[in-house]
Amino acid sequence: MSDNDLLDDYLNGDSDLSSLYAASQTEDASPSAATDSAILAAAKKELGTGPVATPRPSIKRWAVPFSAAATVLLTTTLFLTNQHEIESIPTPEAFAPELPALDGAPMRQSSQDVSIQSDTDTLKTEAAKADVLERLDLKKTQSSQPAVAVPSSPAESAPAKLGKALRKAKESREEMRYRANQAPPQPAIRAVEESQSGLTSGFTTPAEPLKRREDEQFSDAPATAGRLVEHKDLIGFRESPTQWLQVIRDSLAAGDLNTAKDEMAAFVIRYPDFLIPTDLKVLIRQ
Amino acid sequence: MDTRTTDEALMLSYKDGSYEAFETLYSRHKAPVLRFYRRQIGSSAAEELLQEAFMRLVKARTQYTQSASFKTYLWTLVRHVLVDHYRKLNRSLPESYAAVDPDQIHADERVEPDLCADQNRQLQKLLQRVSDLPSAQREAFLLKEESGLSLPEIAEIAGTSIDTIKSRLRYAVLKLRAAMGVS
Repeated sequence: MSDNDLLDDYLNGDSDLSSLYAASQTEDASPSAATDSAILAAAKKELGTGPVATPRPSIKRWAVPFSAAATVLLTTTLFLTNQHEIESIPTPEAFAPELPALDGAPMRQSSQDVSIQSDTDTLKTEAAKADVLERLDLKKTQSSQPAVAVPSSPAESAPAKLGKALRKAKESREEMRYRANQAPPQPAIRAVEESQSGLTSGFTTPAEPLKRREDEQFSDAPATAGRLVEHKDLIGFRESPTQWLQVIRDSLAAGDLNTAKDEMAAFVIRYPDFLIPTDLKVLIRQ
Repeated sequence: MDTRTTDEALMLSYKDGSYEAFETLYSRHKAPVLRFYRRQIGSSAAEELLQEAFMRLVKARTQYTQSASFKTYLWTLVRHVLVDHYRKLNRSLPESYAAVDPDQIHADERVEPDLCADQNRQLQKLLQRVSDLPSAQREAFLLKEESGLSLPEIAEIAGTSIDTIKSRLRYAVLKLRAAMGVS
């Protein structure tokens, strides 16, 4: 018989060992009376103090269900309130114009873009200040004119000087605005201009577009402006959709189709909701 | 109480406030538990452990649920008391519980055989051999003989695998049979 067979016999109760051991179980294995009484007394005492026999008051019986129901109600109310408030907050995407997906064009505004935009704002502010100062100077000039004007030069009369001052002020103002407007436009528009004009084949390195932007900003004849029909009298034309469209129309009339298309693409991005005139719709690229 | 009433029903009755139910339970189980303790640790501390085990049962009255058999519940409690006793003495379980060498028995694991009530010579010899077993094997053998539980139930009580209990029992049975000269 193998060990396993012996064990199986033992586990089945067929073993002589079990029979022999069973004989020992007939012995008097009672604990002492003191132990018996101590255990039984403890059992009896436990019954006297036990909480099982006493019925729970109804308020305690309903405390847990009421608490659970209140918790569920509170949680649901808070959740729904928060959900309603979250839905009522407009998302940033609602304000941003939809931009076309451009291959390789950077869609995020980099820190350099922010810096350039900041410079543009500063220039615009300076232009406005200069405008105000010039108006003040003009008023001073007018008020300080003597009743009987004594011309400083025999060739210039008072109206001529006034006209000269006005022209100078206008030129100064326009120069400031020109500088402000020559700062790079929004990154997405710039990306469209660059990618569509064929200047770049995609941004491979971050330094390349940055360098080009700097060149555009500080050159006297920016690439975009250089490709347009001369509109020096319409500096800042992009601020007005009708003027911009007129410039595009002029470019088209002058035969500069690529420039007209580029400008139209930029126009659509800048003014996505503006109704495009029928004669210019041909420039919109699909 | 009816002798046919199950242990589980008796414990639930005691939980509901029946003192008689506990008396019946106590009278049913005190002898095997006492024998288990006597043969596992000797007669000196057996009654003390018996009292501690039943005190714990009394205190656990309100938490008792009929999720397992009462025997498993009681013998788990009995074994916990024994383990606490070991730890109080040695701060750990006896070496044989590690099952490194099943034949190894340390001096502190030996107990005086419980021979006082046994006149039969063969039985005395068997009890002597039982007391010579390592603690872990002796525990498995005594749990099997005294509680009448199955192998999975013993494994659950001992907090180990069925294979371990089977192995301990195999060693115990082989040693006892060899010592008793049973073919």
